[in-house]
Parts: sequence; C-alpha cells; structure tokens
Amino acid sequence: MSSIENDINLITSYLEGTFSGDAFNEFNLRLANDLEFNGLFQDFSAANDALTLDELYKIKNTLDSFNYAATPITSFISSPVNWIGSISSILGLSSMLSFGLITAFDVEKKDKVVENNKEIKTKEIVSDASAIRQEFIKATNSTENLAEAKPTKIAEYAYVSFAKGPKELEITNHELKNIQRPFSSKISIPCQKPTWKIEAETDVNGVGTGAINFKLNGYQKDYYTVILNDNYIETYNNKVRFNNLKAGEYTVLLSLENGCGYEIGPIVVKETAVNQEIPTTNVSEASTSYLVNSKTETFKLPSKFDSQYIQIFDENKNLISEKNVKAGEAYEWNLKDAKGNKVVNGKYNYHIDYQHASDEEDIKGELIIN
Amino acid sequence: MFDLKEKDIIQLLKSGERDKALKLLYKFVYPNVRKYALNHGATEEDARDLFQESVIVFFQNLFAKKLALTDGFNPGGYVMSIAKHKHIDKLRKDKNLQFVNEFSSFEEKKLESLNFEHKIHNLEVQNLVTQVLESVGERCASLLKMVMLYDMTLREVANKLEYSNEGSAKTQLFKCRQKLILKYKDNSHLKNLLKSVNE
Repeated sequence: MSSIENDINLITSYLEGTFSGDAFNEFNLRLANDLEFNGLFQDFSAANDALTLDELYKIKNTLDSFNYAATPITSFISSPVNWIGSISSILGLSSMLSFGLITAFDVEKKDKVVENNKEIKTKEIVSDASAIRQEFIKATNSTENLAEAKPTKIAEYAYVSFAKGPKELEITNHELKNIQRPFSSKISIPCQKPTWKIEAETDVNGVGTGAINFKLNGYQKDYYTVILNDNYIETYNNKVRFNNLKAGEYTVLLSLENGCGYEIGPIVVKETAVNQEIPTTNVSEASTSYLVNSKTETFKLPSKFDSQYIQIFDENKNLISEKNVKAGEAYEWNLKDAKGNKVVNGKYNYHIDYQHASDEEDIKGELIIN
Repeated sequence: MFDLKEKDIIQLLKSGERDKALKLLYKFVYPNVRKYALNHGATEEDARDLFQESVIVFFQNLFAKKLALTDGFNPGGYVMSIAKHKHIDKLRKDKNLQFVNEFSSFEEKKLESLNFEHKIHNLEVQNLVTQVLESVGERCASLLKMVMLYDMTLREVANKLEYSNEGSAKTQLFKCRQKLILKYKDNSHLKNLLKSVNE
C-alpha cells in the first residue's frame, strides 16, 4: 500500500472516530507538524463537501422537476383538474388495481374562486349537493348545523379526501366549522376498462436504447398517470413514451382520472446485438493500444474474468461510458456515449477494474477510433 | 412505490432511495407547507421556494449527521418546522416584525445549515463539482454517497450495487474515496473557488 493510501486510511479512521489514546494523539501531532499530511486532510474534508454539494444539486434538480402547479396531494384546493389523480396517489395505486373508485358526486371543474373581490384559490365544486347532504345526515345522525346552511353552500365548500383507503370516503366541510366529526361513505362502482396499445422497442447492444410506447385508445385528453417502474408520468396526452430502457421485463401501471387503475404487463424489451466483426482483443497485457474503425467495428473484449467494471474516458479524462460486466459475459462498446450519440474519432482510454477469484487488478490502455 | 406512506421516507433514505423519498416529501409535506405559506401571506412561488429550501436544509443536516433517522423521527414534521422557521425569519427580515418565538420547543440549532446555500446557487461551483464527480464515475459517486451521506452499511451497498461481497465493496469504497480526493486535489480552480465562496 502506498503512503497516500495509508494516509487516506488513517484520515478515514480518524474521522470515523475509531482512534483512541495514543493513536489519536499521534494523529493530531502529525496534523500539526506535517504540512503535506495536513494538506491531504484538508483536501479530504473538502472532497467530502464536494460530494455533499453534488448530492444537494441532484436533490435540487429533482425538486425542480416536480409539478408545483398541480394539485397538492392532501389538500384538493388548488387545481381541480388533477383532483382524483392526486387522490389516487394517496390511496396507493395497487389498492386501486382491484377496486374501481368513483365518487358518488359529480365533480365540476371551476378554475377560479373569488372571495372578497380577490382571487384566492381554485376549488373543487361538488355539484351534487343533495348527495352530500344525505351522506352528512347519515354519518352524523343529525341535521343540526346542516339546516343553517344551504345545500349549495355545503356543496360549494366541500372537498373530499380518501384518508383510509379506497372504501373510506371522508368529506369535510370547511364552511361548517363547528362540525368536528368527519363522516364516511362506502362507494364501489365498477370501472369500465379502456383499451390501449403498447409496443416495446429493442435495446440495441444492451446499452439502454430500448423504449416502450403506450397509447390509450379513445381517451378524451383527460388527465391520467402512467407509471413504469420508477418512471412516473402525469399527462393529458394519450401517447406516452418511455425512453432509455435496458432490456428486461416492465410493468405499466395506469391510473385514470376517474380513479380506476390497471396493471399492464409484463412488457418485454428485448436486447439485440448489432453484429460487427471486429478483431478479438486480448487484455491480458497492460497498457495495450487498440485501433478501432468506427465505420465497421465496435470495441469488444472477451469474457476473461469473474467480473469486470469498465470505464472509457476521452482525452480530457471525461467519463464517456461505464459498464459492469458479469462473469462470463463479453464487453462490447458500440462507440456511443451515455446519451447514445456516436463519439467523435480520436484517442480514448479504457480502464478495466476486474475481479479474478479473490484478487482484483486494474488494466489501463488506449484505443484509437478512426 | 405505490403503497408508500409518509413514514416510509425514513426507510427510503436509509436505503439511498433519494428520489423516491423526495417524491413522498413532495406528496405529503408540500401541501402542508403550501397551505401554511399561503395562509401567511406568501405567493405560490414563495411556497414552492420555501418547500425546496426546507427540504435542502433537511438533507444538509442529515448529511452533516445532525439528524438520526430513527424510527420515531418524523421527516415531514421536521421539514414543516424548518419551513415555518424560515418563513417567519423571512417575514421578520422583510417587515422588520417582532415575533414571539412560537417554535421555542424546536431546537433551532438543528435548523442551522452548513452554509451550503450560497454554493448551491453558484453555477460555477456547481459545474466544477459536477465535473469532478463525473470524472470519478457515476458508480463510484453512488457508492461514496451511499456510505458517506446515507450511512448505508457495506453489506447494503454490496447488495445494491451488486458487488460480490462486503469485502469487494470495501475495496471499491477505498478506491473511490482515493479517486475523489485525487480528482479534487488536482482541480486547483475548484479548490480556490470553494475557498473564496467560504470566505
């Protein structure tokens, strides 16, 4: 182990608090007297800060990507269009897969509500006031409080939330503030299953170029959500495309505005290889250069080791491609970057980090693409 | 993902599922932050910014080990508290208002950020940091973050990143850590920039 490796280990142990007694004092003494070591210690801390910053950037990007204009999930007062879609999020889609959920009340969409001459919020307008009235009486066993308010008023300010699952309909009336007790109703109406078309495109050379195209037939541009594994799309468009998929089996979860949900799948994205005959290369010698003709070849390495982790860098040391190759598999690079674009001709470096039995070794070399 | 509840945020964070945890925070906490902000004179845009800033402070404190993700911990409540604190602070600054400290029970110290806020908004720093992390490699960066920021064990990391065993994960962790330090060490521009931002 080199001295810098030793020092990094030492600093790690120190920061993890695994030192005690003499070792701790010795470390502090060295930190005070060894400028180079002190510099490494500073860099170590700063590199950790860089790691934290990078993660915070990613968090910020994810937060930026959320649709803040849509209805907040637990208070259905800002954007009626997404109303039931939001409810479905609360319910958990899986609970809807076997249960169609439709409210007993027709929901009209109203964009603006004006109070005191000021546009304040967008609210749901529940048109069927008498239904709410009946539910209320049934739930509270009383018409007290209700008599004071006109049914339309009750309806206008009612909003609905599903806090305990699909069968529990909770209605709260903002206007009647003295009513503390929520009431519930069990409503079950079967869903009318729509039709859809779904197609999978192949993943060429296993680098994640596959795609799934989803089309909802006869849909009138209503809001719905489609979830494919971790990809979550809320849309009004009847066509949805999931890009950059690796070969494998996928499931699409469809949630319609009326609250009905469906599980579609498995959908198989196949892997196809673009066969290009290239000379077999041998990586047993370190620092080997290879020449690859970009028009007719790919860069291919034989399956030689238990597992390999391969990175390709350009001349400026930017990471262009990386892949973890399992035991027994060959590695093939189609000369494309992570976005699927063909890389420009020139010099590239490869770095293979492989495991062989219990041993590990690095191999570095270069390849010229012309 | 579909049956997840607010309490699952902790488990998601413990397993390094950052984006899923963020979705749940957005799903369960943003409406409350928004409602609070709008009821206290903020605009929609203010509410969104307040939520984002509060979530970032939450993560900063998490990464700085000021928080422990115990089962009893309530991330939503914590973010909400930060939001209230921040909003009152903003009102105080904007209008020079005096408030009775309505969050006296809340440990304000925990709300203090690591002063990353100005760095987050510095595009040059962001580009350089991103470059350094990209040169380390996505896999390495993930490994480092899982261990150093999300406190995942080597066994959990080995499972998640498909290393053959904990030993292999440990070896890679060391290599990645070394790689990150060396990349950072070589980037004098970033070093100077971070120093100047800190000052």
